[in-house]
Amino acid sequence: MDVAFINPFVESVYDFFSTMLDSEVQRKSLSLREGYRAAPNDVVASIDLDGWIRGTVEISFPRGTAIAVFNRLTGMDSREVDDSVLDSVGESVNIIAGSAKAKLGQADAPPLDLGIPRVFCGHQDGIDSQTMRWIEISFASGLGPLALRVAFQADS
Amino acid sequence: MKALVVDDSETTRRILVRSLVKAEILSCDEAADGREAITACLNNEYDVVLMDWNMPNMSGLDAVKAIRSAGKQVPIIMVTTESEKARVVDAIKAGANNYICKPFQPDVLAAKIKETLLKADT
Repeated sequence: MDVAFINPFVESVYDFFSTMLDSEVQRKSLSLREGYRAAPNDVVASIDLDGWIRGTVEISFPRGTAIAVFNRLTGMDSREVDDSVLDSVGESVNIIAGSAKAKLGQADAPPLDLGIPRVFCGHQDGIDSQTMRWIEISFASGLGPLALRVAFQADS
Repeated sequence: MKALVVDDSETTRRILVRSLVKAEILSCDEAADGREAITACLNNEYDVVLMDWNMPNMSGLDAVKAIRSAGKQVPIIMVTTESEKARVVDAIKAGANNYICKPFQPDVLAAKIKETLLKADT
């Protein structure tokens, strides 16, 4: 996977946090991962992109970050991960991936198609995450830590 | 004034409702996909519709086409992650009146709602 694909997603994480969460975010480490198992404490949202490149984007929030993001987005005061919090994590990956796909756009190619987000807590059997090759970027933010994972292959 | 907010995300619907309040629209219905949006528009009169693009069952773009085919002239603002120029052109051709890309600030959306309502009045 071309690392050049990653920058639009990092920029989109910055845009999402500054525009909708009024929070700063700082990029930390970048690593390559041959599959992974989500930590039991993590809320993970995944979305597919399809077109001249195909792949999957994931955003992973520890539960505390997920609750803080939900509360900041909605003005609510949730204390636990419920369906509403899961929905907000799904919408987060939708916004980040959607914003990034426009930045990735090629003049001679139609826009990439964006899928519907899937959200899960902790490790789930049958999720492709374990077999895919990911680039993972970790971030620190005013709402807690988070990670972005991207796995892509370009059409030949 | 009454609005319809259409998005499969409950979180985004809550954000949209807050933007409507900033635009002084205090009454609204909600729909979670394009099919629900069409049913709501055919059975109610709205002053404005806020419409997502990517949703299960039926997309916002197809819903806009169906609402216009049914002769409904309600102002429709697309609120979507689809920000490529080609997508904006598709939505305007289908009958959308205005367009705002996610991520957005609620105040910016509120201003766009007011602008769209003013244009619809003239």
